[in-house]
Amino acid sequence: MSRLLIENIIFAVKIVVIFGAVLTAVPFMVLLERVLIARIQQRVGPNRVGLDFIPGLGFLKGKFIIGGILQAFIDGAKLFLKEEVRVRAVDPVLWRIAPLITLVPAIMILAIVPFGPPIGLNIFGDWYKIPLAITDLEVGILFYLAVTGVAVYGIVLAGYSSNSKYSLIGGIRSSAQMISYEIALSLSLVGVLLIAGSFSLSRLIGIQSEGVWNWNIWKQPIGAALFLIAGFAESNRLPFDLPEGESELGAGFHTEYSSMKFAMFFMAEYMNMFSYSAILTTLFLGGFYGPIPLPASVYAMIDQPIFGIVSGVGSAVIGVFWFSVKVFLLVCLFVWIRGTLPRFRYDQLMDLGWKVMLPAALVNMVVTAAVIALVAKPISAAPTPDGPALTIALLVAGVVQVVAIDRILTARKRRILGHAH
Amino acid sequence: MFLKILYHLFVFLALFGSLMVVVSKKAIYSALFLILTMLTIASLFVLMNAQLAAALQVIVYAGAIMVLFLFVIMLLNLGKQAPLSRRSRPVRWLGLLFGVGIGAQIIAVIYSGFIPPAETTAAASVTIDHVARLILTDYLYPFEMISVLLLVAVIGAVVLARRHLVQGVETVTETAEKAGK
Repeated sequence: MSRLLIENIIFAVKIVVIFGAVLTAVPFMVLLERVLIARIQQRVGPNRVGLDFIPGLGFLKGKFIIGGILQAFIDGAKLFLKEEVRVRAVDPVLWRIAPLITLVPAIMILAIVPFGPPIGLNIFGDWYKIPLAITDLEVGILFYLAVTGVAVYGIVLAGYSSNSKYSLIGGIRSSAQMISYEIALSLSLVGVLLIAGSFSLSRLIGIQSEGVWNWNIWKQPIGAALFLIAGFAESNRLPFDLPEGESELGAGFHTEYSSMKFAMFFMAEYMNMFSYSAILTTLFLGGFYGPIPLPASVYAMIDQPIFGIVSGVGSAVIGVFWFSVKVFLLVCLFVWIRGTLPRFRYDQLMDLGWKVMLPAALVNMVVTAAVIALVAKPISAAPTPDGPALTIALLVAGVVQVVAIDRILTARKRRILGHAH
Repeated sequence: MFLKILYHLFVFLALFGSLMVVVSKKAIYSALFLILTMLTIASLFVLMNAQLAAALQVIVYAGAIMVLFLFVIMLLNLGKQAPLSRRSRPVRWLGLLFGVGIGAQIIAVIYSGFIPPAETTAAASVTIDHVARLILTDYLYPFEMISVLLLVAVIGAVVLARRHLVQGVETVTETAEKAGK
């Protein structure tokens, strides 16, 4: 077989494996959310649909987590079997494609996420280097921004095509929210891109290798915070879930959806949460690198070719492990915030996006560029971590900015409250 | 072979989409077909190895501008347009005349050799590095001028949108002054 054909087969296998793995993770994320929210609200949470039907595991009946581990699968099956209700007034074509448009971009982001370091594979005597990412685009981050930009159409169209006032208000809110936070989201990434000197995710990860002190979060504390907040808004999670707003809009844009079409929106939300956490991990939290690097001799030992077929398995396993841990913790953060914070009011949402986050992102961009110019960082050819000078300079600049933002916001709050009284 | 099939598919979709933008009776369908056209053109850019152009096409047009279009269409709740048969007869004939005229012009330009023939060899990919270098060295002045132009447009939009509000505030203060007197 020709080399090109084998490479294409590897490519296809990678797509199937990554897609399958993440799709399987979604039910567990739903379960995780339900269990954590239950803990936060001092409830028991799902504990009825577990593995206790298996002979010998009866003692698990009703036990926390294990007792409810199949809950999400059962919920999925339930949604699958439900009758699909279609109101006569909907626009049939748009109504049908809206859930698809929401789901597809959420999955597409996975195409650029690097899950681990490359492994070597020996096929018919030839060694192939396989990066554990579907592709490494030169415009990686721009691809991410483009895909999230298109994702809003699903929600907007769902709201419009349902032909109901609650859905329409949900859709309009969603598009306004997206436009407002997309700008802050994009600008919050400029600092990281300036440090890396590239849009490619492999390079963005490369500069964060060799230890926790090289992670971008130290160089870009403001950028990371803004990206985190804007990400919540982009994935429509509390406290930014105004497009759904069940207490005021029924269920917002998906009021008129049932059965599998509702399940698609549901799945898209969790896929978004996953891919967004993956991107945040990659950009700011060192991606698949662990907090403390192992000595090179250990890597040389665990990366020995096994049976002459695969090499680099050891570091790949460690990489995927750290990546999963970070994404898991971020997903927990999503759930934690959902369980703790109330929903924004619409004017507060717009206020935060345009008057706080956008100026902060702009200032951060200018300060980062200035610091990089002052430290006179050369853009290295190979993606390697920069010296401590840049990290310290940017960390100081970041802390100064945090203090300044805090002062300005406190003064602003006082002024607004003063006007009110 | 595979790329060729993709190319023809995207070309067909782009043409189909742009035709449907004009033909669709509902404003929202027109907007959606315009988005389809933008996305297929972005795909054509990718096939030409211009990833940056493709990404910017999607971010700026499909991601930002068209969301605004849809937002306005939804807010105004535009219904169906009046069917063509209700338009006046002379306008329809005039439209046909202009359509044929523009079509003939395009065909004439294509066959005049004004547009150089497409490169048959695969073009080297245009990286972000190249574009950035050109923008910030050779074309710095036009680039800055465009930024100023955009700033003017933004300020102009704010002034136009806020004019009534400012006048309204003035009249309120005026009435208050009058009441005070």
